[in-house]
Amino acid sequence: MITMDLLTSSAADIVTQIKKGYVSTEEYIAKIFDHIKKVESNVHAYISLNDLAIERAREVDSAVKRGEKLGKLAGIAIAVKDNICTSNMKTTCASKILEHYIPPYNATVIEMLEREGAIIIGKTNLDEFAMGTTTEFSRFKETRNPWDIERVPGGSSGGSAASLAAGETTLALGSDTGGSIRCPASFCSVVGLKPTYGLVSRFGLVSFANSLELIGPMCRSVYDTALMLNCITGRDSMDHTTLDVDTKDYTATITQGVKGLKIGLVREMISDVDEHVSKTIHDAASKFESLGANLNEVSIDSLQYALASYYTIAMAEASSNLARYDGVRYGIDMGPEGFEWNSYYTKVRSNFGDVVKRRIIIGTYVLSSGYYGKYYLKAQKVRTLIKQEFASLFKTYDLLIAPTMPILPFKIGEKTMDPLHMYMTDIDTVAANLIGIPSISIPCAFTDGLPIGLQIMGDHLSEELLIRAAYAFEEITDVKKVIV
Amino acid sequence: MMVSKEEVKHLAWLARIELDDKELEVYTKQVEQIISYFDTLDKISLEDIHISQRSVPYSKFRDDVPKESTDNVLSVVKNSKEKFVKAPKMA
Repeated sequence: MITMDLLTSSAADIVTQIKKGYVSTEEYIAKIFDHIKKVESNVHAYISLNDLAIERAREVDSAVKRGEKLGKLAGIAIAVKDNICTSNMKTTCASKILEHYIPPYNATVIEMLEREGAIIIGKTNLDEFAMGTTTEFSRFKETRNPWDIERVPGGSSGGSAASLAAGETTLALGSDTGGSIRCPASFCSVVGLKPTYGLVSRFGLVSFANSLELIGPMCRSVYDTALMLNCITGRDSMDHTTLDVDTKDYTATITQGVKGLKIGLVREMISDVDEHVSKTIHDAASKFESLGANLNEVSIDSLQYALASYYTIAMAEASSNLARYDGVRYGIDMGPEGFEWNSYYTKVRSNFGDVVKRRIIIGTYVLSSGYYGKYYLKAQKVRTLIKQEFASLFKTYDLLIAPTMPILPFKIGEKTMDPLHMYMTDIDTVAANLIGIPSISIPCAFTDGLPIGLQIMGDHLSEELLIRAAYAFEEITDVKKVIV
Repeated sequence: MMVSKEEVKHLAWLARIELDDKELEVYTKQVEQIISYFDTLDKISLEDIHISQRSVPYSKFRDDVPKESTDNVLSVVKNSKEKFVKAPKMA
């Protein structure tokens, strides 16, 4: 046996040791569960834990002893956002509507990760139906930022990000509709990637806004992110929006650096941000220059309309998607006997939280016959405009950089009463969702003990480039990613 | 854009969401605030812009061949009778 800190080591290192038989998967998984027991009362990252994880760990150890060929993530602990379906575990979306729901199938990404030997250790907290930026709008608990438990971890994949930063898992899955992977990654000082729309299957991701969202990896290193992405991409017959592209090994080119690449710093994304954030991102830009990249400031005029376009589309899609929760076929059961359809349907849906109800109502508003042209159609046209501006920039620039979040992690409860103010914090992340491009958030620095994330965006299917640049940056910076 | 309580009440009914008086009061203000923000889209001229198709094409549709469902979908239904789902009666 070798000595390594199993709570903080990378998946890449742990899997190597497991395969050699130097690390016992059972001991490693048990150690993670012990740690969860110790810190969870402060962090509140998980909604449920997987009772079968230890059994799965023993199976991996037996396979190692038998000399069997093992998967890329053999024995590695993974935390899964609780809006991704798992057939043996509850999938609640942090909602009362799905509080006891156990899906009859696995999401495609779960099938793929388990095939590679990953072990689901638990389901992580989120804002109800992934609608939020702080994880305060879970109907079960508020997840806290491990770097300062008085502050929000970001959201909506706040449980996944916090579990990584607190050493409660080695890898995690999140979902990103308007920044829900990148925002908590930034606030918790971990890596989070929203891939190109269609690169990862959405089958089994509970729908909020289908044209915007995707599942993606959240990790403590860029290398682990590449490793995990290797396991979840590909065409899926269950999701016809998945792309017919060859799977790649994103670790193969990871060390190629940024020398000669053209990188644009997006003016509109950095002009109105917190001064610490601004300084940190300008410093990061200089670091890329020192690595041999050509750096320029660029401007995307239509970005001023991105947030209004995004929220119009996201709420419209949400109002349509969430119509399915009728309390009849699955989810909450209030006993339909004696009820008339409409009164039962309405009673069931009173179980949605405020945030969700408000979004459904506004979504209904922008889709209603008198306002469809004024809001929804316009929002879709703005989406085209933004897409055109980005496309023209990508003719010259390989990558674009910006802050992930315009502000530092704020105090729990600080913004809960003002929805519009809360939406404004998504200002730098929503563009990537509107136009379907990949975007990664990586730890950039700490200021006054609080993390700042750097966002790197690229053209469709440029994940290799994103990962190369993120890795090069990570190599020359020393930012803490875990606190145990 | 002004948003009235009656409008929000009607929208809530369309979405089958029950609101009490206090919720209606708060939601009306919030909906108006958010819709007014969406009005910023009025500032931009979009006449020559079309809603674009996806830049990366969708995968081909698979052939329309029926497959056996492997999932026990009815296992999650609480109120069922034989192979039917029991629902409240339609008025």
